[in-house]
Amino acid sequence: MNIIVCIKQIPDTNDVKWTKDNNIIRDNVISILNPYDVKAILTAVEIKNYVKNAGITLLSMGPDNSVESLRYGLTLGADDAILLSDRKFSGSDTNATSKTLQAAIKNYIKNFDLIITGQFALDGDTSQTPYSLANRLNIETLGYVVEVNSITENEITVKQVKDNGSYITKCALPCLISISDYKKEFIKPSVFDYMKGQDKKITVLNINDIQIDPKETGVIGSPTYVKKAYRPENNRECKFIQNVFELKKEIFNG
Amino acid sequence: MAEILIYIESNENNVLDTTYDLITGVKEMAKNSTVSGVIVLHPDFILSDEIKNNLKKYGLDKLYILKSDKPFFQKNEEPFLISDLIKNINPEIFILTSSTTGREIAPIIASILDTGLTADCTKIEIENIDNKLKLISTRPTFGGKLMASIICKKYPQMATVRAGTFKKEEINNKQIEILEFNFPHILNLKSEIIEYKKDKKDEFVNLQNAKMVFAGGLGLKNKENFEKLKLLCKKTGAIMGATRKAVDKGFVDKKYQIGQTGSTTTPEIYVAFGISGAIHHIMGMENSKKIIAINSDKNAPIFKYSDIGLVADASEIIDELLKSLN
Repeated sequence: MNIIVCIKQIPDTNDVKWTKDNNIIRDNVISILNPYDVKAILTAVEIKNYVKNAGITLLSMGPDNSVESLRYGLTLGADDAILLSDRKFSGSDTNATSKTLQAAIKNYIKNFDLIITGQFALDGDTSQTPYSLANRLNIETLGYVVEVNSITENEITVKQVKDNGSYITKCALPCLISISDYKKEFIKPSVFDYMKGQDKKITVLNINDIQIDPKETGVIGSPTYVKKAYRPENNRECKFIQNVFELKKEIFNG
Repeated sequence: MAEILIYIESNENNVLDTTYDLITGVKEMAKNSTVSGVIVLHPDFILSDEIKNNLKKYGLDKLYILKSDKPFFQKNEEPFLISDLIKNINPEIFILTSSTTGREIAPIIASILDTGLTADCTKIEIENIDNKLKLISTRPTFGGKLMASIICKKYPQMATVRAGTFKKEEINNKQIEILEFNFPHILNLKSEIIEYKKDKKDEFVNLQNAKMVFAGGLGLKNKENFEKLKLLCKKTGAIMGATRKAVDKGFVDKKYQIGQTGSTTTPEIYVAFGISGAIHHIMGMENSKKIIAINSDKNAPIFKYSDIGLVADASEIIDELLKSLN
């Protein structure tokens, strides 16, 4: 069984610093592997332990330093990794990103049974790429997955938790599952895992390797663009009170 | 006349309030355009006169009805049905609420139509330039630290809009035109829902429509204090909320989570008990009308986002409030 896990390296949003003109300083920001993608990798590793002859390929699109996150994913138990890195990919919105990932899967990876993604990425938080990617590959997405109940070579059954309730859903493979929670305890990789991770292969691919039309990717291939970005306003001023009596008045008497 | 299409989200027997909120918000911005809605009717759903009247009353000019023979909780056909409608009517803008349903079907529709989609907006503006509508969608990004206003170059311009961005209001709307479409379809969808359990969240954790919210954070220290907070909510009619960290610690169920990756709430009164004020939580409550914070650390960031502050141990304050209410 070939499992692809799509991951994203993101800036640590707790580490954001500002210029005087309210622009985010993007240089030297600490990069981390998106926490939901860690859950996706752990889910893949769990499936691998359960299904015979399963292999996990990590797939990421991003700048060259994304190899750090891929390497970390390999220490968590993935088998190999692919980085899509080309200046022509940069500035892709979710539409262009999903086309680029689709091209890599269709033209380079070719065979797969299951794609696993994180439900959200904490930087952009659009949650759109999994659905868009799956639809372009003509497969279905099972979103908001909190648990994989069972998996065979042909079929997967998952638990999903959405706004309006919880679902047990089964789907024939191939399909895409998007992980919003992973309840099992996270065990930090050992020194041995790190050593094993160092020996695994990371393949870097450019625009020609994945045969995508340059008009379909990057800034040119993106139907959306940011017109302006600004720091959110906060106009509140806090008046401090001293005791529960005053608090009750503030809560219950307007 | 330029047309804006809205996804009418429904449960087993009703249109959701968040949809009515969106209809009013859009109509008020685009008075000279046709504001239409698309609803996919599932077998047991009855489109009553009351629902039609509500849709009209809150600002809808036109309703397109599509039909699915799947149960209401199975939405996987909807993106394909709706895409067919859009190809026929060519609206300039298509907007959905950013519920899990909206956020699941919108990107599929955008990829079928190969257009742009902006997720989970907290503000939208619609400009009319030479009879062409332009959608400007603004959303928090970078974990809420940056706001981005986004434009879409292709049609329809799509966005999902966060609950609480607009509030429903009766608009003097004279009539609603209702059209039924039936597109022949061969859909080879393979997923099958074996079991669906409606969440109690609908009744007890309705953070989206709450008037008063009492939320707890790590400062409450344990499950017992959250039980006390729940009791306080019960006695006062408030809805309980929580931060992601309190959920992660297992103090309280995830369905109470407010903020990025949780619910958004915009009550009249929001009280933060032992919440430090991490930005991903602030994103889910900052539009509340009055914000009151109780925290033992006088430098906690939550006070920057609050109207009223009390420096004290939040769990002791809960005890005192409970005592005084007895």
